Amino acid sequence: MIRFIFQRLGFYLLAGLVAVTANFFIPRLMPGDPASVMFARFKGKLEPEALEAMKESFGLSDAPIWQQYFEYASSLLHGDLGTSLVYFPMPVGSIMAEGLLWTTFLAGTSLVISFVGGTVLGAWLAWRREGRLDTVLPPLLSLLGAFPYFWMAMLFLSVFGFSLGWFPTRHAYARGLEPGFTLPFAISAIQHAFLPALTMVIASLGGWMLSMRNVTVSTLGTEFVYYAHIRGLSDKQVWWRYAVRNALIPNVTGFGMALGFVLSGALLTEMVFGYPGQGYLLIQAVNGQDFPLMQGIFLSITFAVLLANFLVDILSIWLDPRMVPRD
Amino acid sequence: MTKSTGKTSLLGSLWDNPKSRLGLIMVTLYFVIAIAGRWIAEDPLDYVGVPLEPPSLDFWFGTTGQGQSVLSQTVHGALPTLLVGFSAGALVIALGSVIGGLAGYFGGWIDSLLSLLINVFLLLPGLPLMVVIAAWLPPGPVTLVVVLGLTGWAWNARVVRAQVATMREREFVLASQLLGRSHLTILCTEILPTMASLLLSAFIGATIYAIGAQVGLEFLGLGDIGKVTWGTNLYWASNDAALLTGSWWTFVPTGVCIALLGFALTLISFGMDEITNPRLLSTRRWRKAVGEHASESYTPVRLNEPPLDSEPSEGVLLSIQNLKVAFVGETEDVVAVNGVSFDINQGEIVGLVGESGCGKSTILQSILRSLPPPAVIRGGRVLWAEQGQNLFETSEDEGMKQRWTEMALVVQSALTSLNPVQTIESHFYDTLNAHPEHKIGNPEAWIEQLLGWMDLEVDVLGKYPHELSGGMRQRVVIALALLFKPRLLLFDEPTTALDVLVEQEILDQITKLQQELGFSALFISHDLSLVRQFVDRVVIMKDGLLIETCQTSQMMNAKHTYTQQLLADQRIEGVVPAPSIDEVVTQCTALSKTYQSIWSTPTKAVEACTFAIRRSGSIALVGGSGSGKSTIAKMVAGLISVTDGTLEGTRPTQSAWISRRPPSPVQMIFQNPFGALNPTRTVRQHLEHVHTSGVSESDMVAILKQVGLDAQSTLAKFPHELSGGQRQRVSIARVVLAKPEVLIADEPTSMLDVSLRSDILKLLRDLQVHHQMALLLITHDMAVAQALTEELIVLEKGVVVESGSTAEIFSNPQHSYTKQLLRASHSLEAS
Repeated sequence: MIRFIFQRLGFYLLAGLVAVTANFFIPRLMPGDPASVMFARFKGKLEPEALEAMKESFGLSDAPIWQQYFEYASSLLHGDLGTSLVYFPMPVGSIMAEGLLWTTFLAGTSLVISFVGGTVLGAWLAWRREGRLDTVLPPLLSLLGAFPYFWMAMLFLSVFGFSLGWFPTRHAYARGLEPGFTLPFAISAIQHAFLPALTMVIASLGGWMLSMRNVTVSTLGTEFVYYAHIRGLSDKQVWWRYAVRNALIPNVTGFGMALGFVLSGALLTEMVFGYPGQGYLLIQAVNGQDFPLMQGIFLSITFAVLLANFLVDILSIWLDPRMVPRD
Repeated sequence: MTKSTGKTSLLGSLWDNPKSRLGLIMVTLYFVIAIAGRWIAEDPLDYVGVPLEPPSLDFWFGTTGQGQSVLSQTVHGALPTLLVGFSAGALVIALGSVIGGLAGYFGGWIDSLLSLLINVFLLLPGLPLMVVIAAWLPPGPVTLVVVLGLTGWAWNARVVRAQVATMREREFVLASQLLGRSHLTILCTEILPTMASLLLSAFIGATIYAIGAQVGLEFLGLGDIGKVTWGTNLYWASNDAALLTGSWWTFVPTGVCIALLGFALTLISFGMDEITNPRLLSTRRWRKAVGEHASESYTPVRLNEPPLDSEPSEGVLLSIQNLKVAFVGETEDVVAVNGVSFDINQGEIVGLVGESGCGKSTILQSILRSLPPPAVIRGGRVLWAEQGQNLFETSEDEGMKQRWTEMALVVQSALTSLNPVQTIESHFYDTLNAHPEHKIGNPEAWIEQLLGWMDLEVDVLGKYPHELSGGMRQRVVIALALLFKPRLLLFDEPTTALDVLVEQEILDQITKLQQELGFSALFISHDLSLVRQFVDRVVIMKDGLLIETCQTSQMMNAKHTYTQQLLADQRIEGVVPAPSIDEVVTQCTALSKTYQSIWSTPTKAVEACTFAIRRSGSIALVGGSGSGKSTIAKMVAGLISVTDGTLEGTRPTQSAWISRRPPSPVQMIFQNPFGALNPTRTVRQHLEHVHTSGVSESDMVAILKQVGLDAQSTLAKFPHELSGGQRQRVSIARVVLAKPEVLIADEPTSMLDVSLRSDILKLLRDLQVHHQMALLLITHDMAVAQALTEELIVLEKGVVVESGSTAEIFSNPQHSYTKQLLRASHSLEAS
């Protein structure tokens, strides 16, 4: 068990290292000399100090590449992600701190809601397979899931936000409120998060539901389900304790692996709603060609995904006795 | 019924499925409109009207924030979006197949490394990574395809790797390696084509992903915002403040187009699921035939004619009368059991014997009414004689109560039958709790007693199924069946998957328990000689019909020719070992194999095994499972590396990565005739590729004749159109064409019906003499070894325990393990 956990930790550490290394090499591998490309873009737009800072934050110097790499890595270890260009001279780390909090709140909550909801619905459809709900819901939800996340966000925002005025249209809380653990602030935060969360849940629910349904149905065809039936166990018990219980395992692992994909959709939703999370920062960074900020966001999201996957691993150990040999 | 190739039949069946046909039509329509629309629709960048004009007769979809026509932007945006989406989908599949394929095919450290890479890439969040890469590249379609390919390949690679890894050990892949085909050829032309439907559905998934991600990137402004695509349409819609003014028409048409395209592709996927998983369709047909409310877990009875009443005689426990069972087919019922009648007396063990597909398991499941769809009971009745109760008129509730308390089943595969996430103990208690009406005084003590009877320790209760050995699991399954002391036990080939010696132990235990507890039993088997050892009466079946019922003691006087034939088949007759020439072809000295693993202690599979293979001679390696006999075979064939020891003389050659080599002088025939041939290739294609320069038509005809097949009817066939015996003959023909000096036969007859055994062994022996091949035979069956070989090596747990002349060991075995093996060989007893 301990060994398994360390093995996984080692793997995530390695994945993190790959992300850091990619971050370092991507600007250097791209066609043309990165420094000149960048400086050409910013000539005249930025203060000379900003250019200097940018150069420094990329570790772009004449030193050999491995030395640049180690300098880059060591500054990362000290929490130094460079200086933002859009929000010059704020360091990238402090800009992202708040955004990360809002993203965790919004994307985290809606992901969990859609995964849990989708899984429950999927298990239910497998129980009532070939029933009325089972013939209507899968195609309907996969049609809904085929709309791009951000398009759904645009539609909801324009209908429920602008046209009907039921929900606030921008930001994470009402102007003039002081962030803190107060009731008015909490209510305002929930009001602001509701619409973006709803679009995310609607757009992603179908996927989780379909995969849970299909895995449960195919588990219902396995020999251990057959054997349980013969032993006299009721349909309901077999469905719940044998089929659903086993179908959860691949679904939970799948959740961990799909996280990277799904988060991307969440970022786009944030942009549409002007929600001050990582997604909103990302569009700021793209519009302002703020490379240090873009890379910082990439790293922060990567580490969030790695952490979530580690939690999924722990959950899997608990769900599947075959994962870890007992001594 | 001939299929031309795997691919066209896949497309054909996609067209036959209503869902995927709708999907295909929609996708085609998209492309037609996207291409034709470029000429018909006006220039999308022209300022044709007032900004943000709602849909009207002039502008069907309204105008954009700049006064351009939304309709023509939507139409013109289609082609670039589709092209990027489909090319990125293809790139994802190509990258994923190559990387996943290499990882799965080579295994070992290459796999570890590539899998690590795949898993890492899977975790990297797509969009931010895409942004980071795309931000540095000049905007445009090529950039988009590259970025989408680079960030999306890992998912597909993972799927391909898993599938290829299961194919890597498949016999047809090993056979191709022995024929000298290069690894790359094998991967690309043998393995990947068998995965056509998987790759197609992965392509659909990747394309859906690529279109979504592409639109997302362009929406962010990372595309070429001067061009008209669906993504830039949405980019401008959001930048032109369409939301603030409520101008929904600027973004709704594009979004609906994207969603409908994604939906069309999903429909193709749905259809593909139904094609590759025909259970869905057949269940639907079955429902139509038996009624909407039929239970899937209690086989419905829909009699074609009323059953005849015939009273069972005294002492009968269960009476099966004129039983007819069918499977609901596409056009008509497929009859599986056609009017079978026999009785099971109290305290009697009845053996039900027949070849695969004769309907014996169907009978057993009809008694329990546990046949899954599409089965339906069409005639007769099953009487629980004492109460005069017809099990075919029993309600589901009552029947469920009766199952397990009065009759219980011992399944064939204990591993797949036990719930992997439950302990053994909860299997017992689940079963107990399912029958609250049936109280057991002290369940704990009773379960312990049951385990004791099966020679199991009490601590197995706390274990999970995967923590037990195959023999232990099978014992657990028997103990579970005895939980309520049922009057009737149904055994469904309960020992087929086990090692011969474990099989013998368990059979002894069953016999002992039966004498102690006095239950009646129906024992199903394909192996007459095994059943004869302990059953009172044998029922012989063939093609859904009952051939004959006779007392075991009276077997020799059986009337029916089929029974006589079965009895004769048990013996191997007319085969004598080929005479050897005193010239060593391959000398194996102190061969050892140790499996290393990073995480666990190394396991020794074979230790210091020495023997010589002589020209035209034959030598057998015998032992139970885990004895290391197959490991030695693979070392001699060069399919796995030798840890220690030497191979001298004729040595196997290895496949190269890219270039074709001549066939290895060491060839192998595999146990599983279903795995030895590539399902996507015809017999002709299998034979043609044996030699680098191809094989002439006359040579193919000649070799097929030698193995007893008709060339005209066989050459064009695919493996699934051949019977098991025919497949094994094709495998033998292919191997002989390669003109090996050493031929390894790994259990060549153990998966074939016993009636084919003598013929195949005879064929092997004749070919061996004709082509002067040395034979290395791997078997657990001493009778087969006796028929084919002059020399014998007995292996136990990787160590040679006895070796010498076959005849001598048979007449005077020294080691106790050899004696056990001899006792477990039922065919020997038969002769």
